[in-house]
Amino acid sequence: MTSNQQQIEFNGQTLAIESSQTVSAFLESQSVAGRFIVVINDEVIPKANWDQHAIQAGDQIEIMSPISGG
Amino acid sequence: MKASNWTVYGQELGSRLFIGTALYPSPKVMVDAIRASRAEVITVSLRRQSANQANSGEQFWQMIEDLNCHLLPNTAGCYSVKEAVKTAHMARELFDTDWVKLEVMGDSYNLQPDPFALVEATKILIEDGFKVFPYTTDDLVLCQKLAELGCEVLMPWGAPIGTGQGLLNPYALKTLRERLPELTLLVDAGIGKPSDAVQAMELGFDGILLNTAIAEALEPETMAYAFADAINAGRLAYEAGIMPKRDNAKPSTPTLDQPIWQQHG
Repeated sequence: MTSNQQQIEFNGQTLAIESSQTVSAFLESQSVAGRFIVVINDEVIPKANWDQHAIQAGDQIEIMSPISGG
Repeated sequence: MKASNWTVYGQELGSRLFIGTALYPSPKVMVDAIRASRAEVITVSLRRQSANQANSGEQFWQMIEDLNCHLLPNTAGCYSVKEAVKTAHMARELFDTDWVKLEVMGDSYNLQPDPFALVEATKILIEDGFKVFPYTTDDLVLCQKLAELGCEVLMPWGAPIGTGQGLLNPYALKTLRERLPELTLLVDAGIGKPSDAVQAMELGFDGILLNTAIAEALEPETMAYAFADAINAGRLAYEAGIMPKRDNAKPSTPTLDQPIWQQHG
């Protein structure tokens, strides 16, 4: 990890990403697409906030997707 | 002939069947079965993407979008109020609906809902603006409590999820119908065959939610047709008014003016 990087947890795996990266930039860097939502530290981040919300060191980021259910 | 339309949290529906999207042998079979069922509400769920399965939900999402049904997300797999409330909030964001099938399990053996946690989670979610469809046991006092909290719809079990045992306690379900006449009631879980669904509809239930009985049939599409017809028949019977049972036989053929040798006092 370089000095301008920070460590986060993404879908259960540890990852080093650029410091101060927004959610939008992070999603693009990870090629996340389709129907999904972003949950950081158990809080849903509304899509309207993705461009402003900066990811912090130690954040736990989860991408939630639709699946079948009964 | 088709049974009357009904309303669920202000949404008018024609079909009285809610159908699950799980357990089908293939995505195509799922789509064919759901179309055959004529259901207008389908249940869905959500999960965290694993690191090596990016965008895994996209194919499923495209299929359910094409079905053009109302979505009822569930909180399956939750065993605490905190988990269920969190999952409901995520589902609202993901599926863009304030409907939630609230499941808070208390026992992993028979997937019996935890009544105490269910009441607590229902209270929180209604305050948060959700339209809650609680998956509940058939306990009258619990159901009354859920209604007092503001639930317009209740979904008591017929039998534990996936067992196909039919209505294990018709008396309890009948009592719910009689004691909660204003509520919308669906039997959710335990339905195994169309006659189970007919029985629930003849008791006056407003609808049926099922998944396994169709998905695990040898021919899910054909079984979906069978359930759609059965549920409609059960509702029509209820609306038509079912005759009371009698202890004594009563001839259906008129006996007036029969010959004297056929008259048996």
